Amino acid sequence: MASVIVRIPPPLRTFTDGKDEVTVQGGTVGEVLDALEAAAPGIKERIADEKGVRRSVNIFLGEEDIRFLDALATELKDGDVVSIIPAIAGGI
Amino acid sequence: MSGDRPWIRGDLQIRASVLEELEAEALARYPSEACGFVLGPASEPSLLDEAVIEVNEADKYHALDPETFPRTSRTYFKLNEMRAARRFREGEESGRPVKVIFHSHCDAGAYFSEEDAYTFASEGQLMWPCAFIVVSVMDGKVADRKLWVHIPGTNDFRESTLTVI
Repeated sequence: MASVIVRIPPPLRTFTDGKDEVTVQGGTVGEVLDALEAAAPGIKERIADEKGVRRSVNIFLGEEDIRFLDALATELKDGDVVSIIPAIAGGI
Repeated sequence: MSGDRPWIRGDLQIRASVLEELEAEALARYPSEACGFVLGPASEPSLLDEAVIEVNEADKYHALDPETFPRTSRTYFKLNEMRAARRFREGEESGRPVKVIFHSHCDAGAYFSEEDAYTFASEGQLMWPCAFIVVSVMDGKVADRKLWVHIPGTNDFRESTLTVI
């Protein structure tokens, strides 16, 4: 288990009592989301569904979108910073 | 979320040279969608005086995961949100905030689409503290441009006034 800092975007801080960062334990990004849900009930559903990370949200490990790593199975180490960032996307 | 960011309510003024830059980018990327930001001084909330062009990464995401991202850059835009978050933060700190996210529509109107609304509002909340400019390119020519703003408490957006100065 790694101790990981999760950065929370403003729209989701209603789940974290206004905190912009939460420290949780987890060996993978998926485990971190489960730990985040335990600490802030209801937040996970806004980030991911049964297929993975929602199209309207991104999870970055450092500078890289985890979709280009191992998605929710991406392994983490102590001190890693995971950023949850709403999408900037759209189209016709 | 309006707070000290009144530009999210619209009624903005854009320098002609900045709008020309957005439209030139929309034409250069056609038939793909263009995207980027428009900045301005916090001290003049309605003024838009700087364009920042971004890379449309839609094709990269489509190639990786066509189920989640079924569209290509022809009908979709997506930019690097980590870089965007940094730009929003630095803009706030420097007194030159990002006030607008812009993108183009190819051979479609300058409307705010369902896909746009799906991304930029959720549970009645605006996801990024800004307004939105959509540039319409039809048959390789700029046909229209419109400013859109979030309707607080909903997942809907309305057109607002964009004055060229």
